Amino acid sequence: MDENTLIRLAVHGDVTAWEPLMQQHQQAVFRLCYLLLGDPDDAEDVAQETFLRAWNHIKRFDTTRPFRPWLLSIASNLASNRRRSAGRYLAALTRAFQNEIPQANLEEKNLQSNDANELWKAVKTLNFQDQQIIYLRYFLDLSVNETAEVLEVPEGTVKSRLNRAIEKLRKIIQQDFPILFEGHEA
Amino acid sequence: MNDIEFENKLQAISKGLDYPSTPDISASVMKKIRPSVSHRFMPKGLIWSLTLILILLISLFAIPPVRAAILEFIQIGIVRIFPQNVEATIQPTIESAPTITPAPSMIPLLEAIIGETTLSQAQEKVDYQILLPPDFGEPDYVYVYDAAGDMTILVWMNPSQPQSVELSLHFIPESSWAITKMGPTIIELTTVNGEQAIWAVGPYPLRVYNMDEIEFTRLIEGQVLIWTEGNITYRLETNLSMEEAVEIAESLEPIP
Repeated sequence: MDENTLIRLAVHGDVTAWEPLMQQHQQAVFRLCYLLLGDPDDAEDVAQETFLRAWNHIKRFDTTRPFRPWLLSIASNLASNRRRSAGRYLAALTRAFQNEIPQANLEEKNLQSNDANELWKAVKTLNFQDQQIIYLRYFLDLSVNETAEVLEVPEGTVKSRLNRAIEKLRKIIQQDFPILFEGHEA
Repeated sequence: MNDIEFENKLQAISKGLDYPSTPDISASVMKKIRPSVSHRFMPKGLIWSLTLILILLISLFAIPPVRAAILEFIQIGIVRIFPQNVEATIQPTIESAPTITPAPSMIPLLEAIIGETTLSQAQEKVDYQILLPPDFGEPDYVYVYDAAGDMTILVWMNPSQPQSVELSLHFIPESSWAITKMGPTIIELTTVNGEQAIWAVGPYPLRVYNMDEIEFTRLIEGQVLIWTEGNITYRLETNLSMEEAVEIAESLEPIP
């Protein structure tokens, strides 16, 4: 069954249509949450909340518009709230008390040598808006049009915001992560 | 490198990011949304039976001693603890309580969310006295978080294992969030400076509330001593024993 049919069924309250829709988009939603929050547990919580909210508001979804940007827009707003939320630090604090050596530690060490991880670090130094637009456009590979749908702004605004964010990122990379583009700047 | 080359490079590098594998989010969400839908297909007979049970339960709640038993909990400051047997009565088992995936360290995350400060800056900011355990000296990290009232968090790292926390101490003002612990494995009543205190040992689901909305539930492994003095609730989390935790709590002194 194609996505439009599943969306129409879901809009009419058919929960069985919601499951394949979630399966189709859960990776993008989870990844955006992970990029914005930097923590897989938080990302999972927020991704779940995204699909619950989307289901609760599916009747209001304009079926003429693309579905994935709508989901990513919800995810992005929830992730933004979560970054400021009370519970986040408690979860982090709690995890710190676990004695076992986390496997993620080792994985992270390996990843740190990875260019993509270095780039992510550089992006994280930007403000939330700039991060958001770079994640959507480059990390999640959304088109300018889709990015505009997520951010609910005109395409022209996406382009100008993107230019500003890239300019800032470029300076940060040149200053703090020169190794990232080493050999290409000459 | 011109702008287009830079963008292309960005796109190429970002594709190489190694994400954690995507959890089965759809299954967890379906568990939460399916029950409400299944009512639509419930036979009328079953609906009547359930209505009858509901009426019986409401009647049961109307009898004061029963209600008192069901709603029994322990409250220390802003922290409310439902012992496990009571929890079983009032709340179904939380099947989907997420397990914890350990993170390398909480410190970078805390810094990102709250921002580290110094002890003197923290003391200037909050309107209560920050206390320290003399045997531990100054904390390694200090945070003040606006949680509807400035909450202070002091963290001491374990000197032999710099990645692990030895002790953390929260000062939570009265107006702050309500933090509810549901059914820890062990609860012991004790005292700190003659005032009632609780020693709670996980695992248990912890719910953090903000303005009457549940923010999140998480499974907690840990042991915490909670007590109140004046308008401040203290929450001391440590891997030490209860006796040692009480000793630390009773030794707290103002910043020299």
